[in-house]
Amino acid sequence: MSKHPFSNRLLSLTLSAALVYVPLSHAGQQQEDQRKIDAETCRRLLEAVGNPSSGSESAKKHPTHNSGPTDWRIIDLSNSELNEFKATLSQAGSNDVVTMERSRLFNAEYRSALEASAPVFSIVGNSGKQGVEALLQNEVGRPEIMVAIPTTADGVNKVFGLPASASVETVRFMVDTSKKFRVLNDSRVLNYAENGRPIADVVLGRAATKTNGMFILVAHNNQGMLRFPDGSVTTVSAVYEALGKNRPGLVVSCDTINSDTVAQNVLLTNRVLDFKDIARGLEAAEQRLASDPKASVGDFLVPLAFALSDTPKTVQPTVKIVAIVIGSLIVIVALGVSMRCVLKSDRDC
Amino acid sequence: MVLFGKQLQFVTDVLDAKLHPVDAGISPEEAKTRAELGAQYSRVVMQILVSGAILAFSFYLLIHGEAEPIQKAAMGFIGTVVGYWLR
Repeated sequence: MSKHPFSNRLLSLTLSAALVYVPLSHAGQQQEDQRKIDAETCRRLLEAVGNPSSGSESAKKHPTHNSGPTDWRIIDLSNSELNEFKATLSQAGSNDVVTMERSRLFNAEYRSALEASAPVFSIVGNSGKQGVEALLQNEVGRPEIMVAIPTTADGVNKVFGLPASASVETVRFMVDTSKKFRVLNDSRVLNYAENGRPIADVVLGRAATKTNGMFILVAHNNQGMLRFPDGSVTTVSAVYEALGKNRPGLVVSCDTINSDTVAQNVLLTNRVLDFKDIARGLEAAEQRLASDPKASVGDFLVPLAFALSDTPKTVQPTVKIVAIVIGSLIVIVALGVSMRCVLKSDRDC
Repeated sequence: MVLFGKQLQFVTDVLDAKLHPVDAGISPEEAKTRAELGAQYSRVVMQILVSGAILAFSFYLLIHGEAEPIQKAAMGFIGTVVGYWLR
């Protein structure tokens, strides 16, 4: 280094730059290539398959679902084979509602294709497209939103199984989340048993009430089992059974499609959901309802599905960008220092 | 190709756990794992602050240090920090 200080330094800087950039830019290029391939595949599929069956009148008016998340559409995959199933889902949007036979859920490939796809809601059953359309065309009326989430250490323990010693952050998160639900119109946060009545009973009782207003339940669910902050439990199927034909309803919880007993001919969710996204989605859905009081269940689902889809589930892209920016700054500053020596023609610099 | 090494992946996991300690379908095991990761948040913040301080000091030495041993040491510090975050 003492004989050729500048050339050695330039060499080490070039190596450092390569170390930072090669893995990052290569991965970035791979992602870009993948995006190009996906876009090309989508374009070809659109040409080859054409539009999937469309259910709503509004969707018929606007056949291209990518024009904006304002219309809902039914994608009937009841008779689709795996390839067609995947191809159709790959061009679907969050505002689409998938309908299919229950047997599809027993196949891991169908299930993973569904979970990875854009649509948030599915209807499993044999009611056919007409039945699904009738369900989605029901008027929402004045919705009743029941939010059964914990806001205390005891509730967090009962719902998520976290001991009090490890639940400080979670309690804080849930308290913050519950505030977002409280500002919704017609919402009711259920943290405790009501007058000695378990939350599960309260929920099932309200679900069974005969009224026109849509019933919406937000709760934690694991394999179809709904756990409430007072320790009471029920199932997604039981809630839908209580709803029956009394009123339209929706259980907003993580992948209710992944239940031990899958409720049929009702709205199910296809993926993991974040509580704050749910609150945001319900707020957007209420705004839609305020502008159109005669909105249907399908119309109500569109902004909800959009909010549940538009947030990245991980900070990885942000961390990647920060790493690239900081790496670039390091390389630029180090190169700048070396270039200063070149400009000064100072070989001992 | 895996983009992140152990350290950046750890930071990603900790930040994810801090932002979303639970979701609407989390299992008790995963909730516990996320709670443990979330508890590492202050450690990650400290790692970032210390790395930033070392980098700032190193660049100061690199720019203002005239003697070659000082510049070598500055390069060494920068290399160590970059290596730590890319491991």
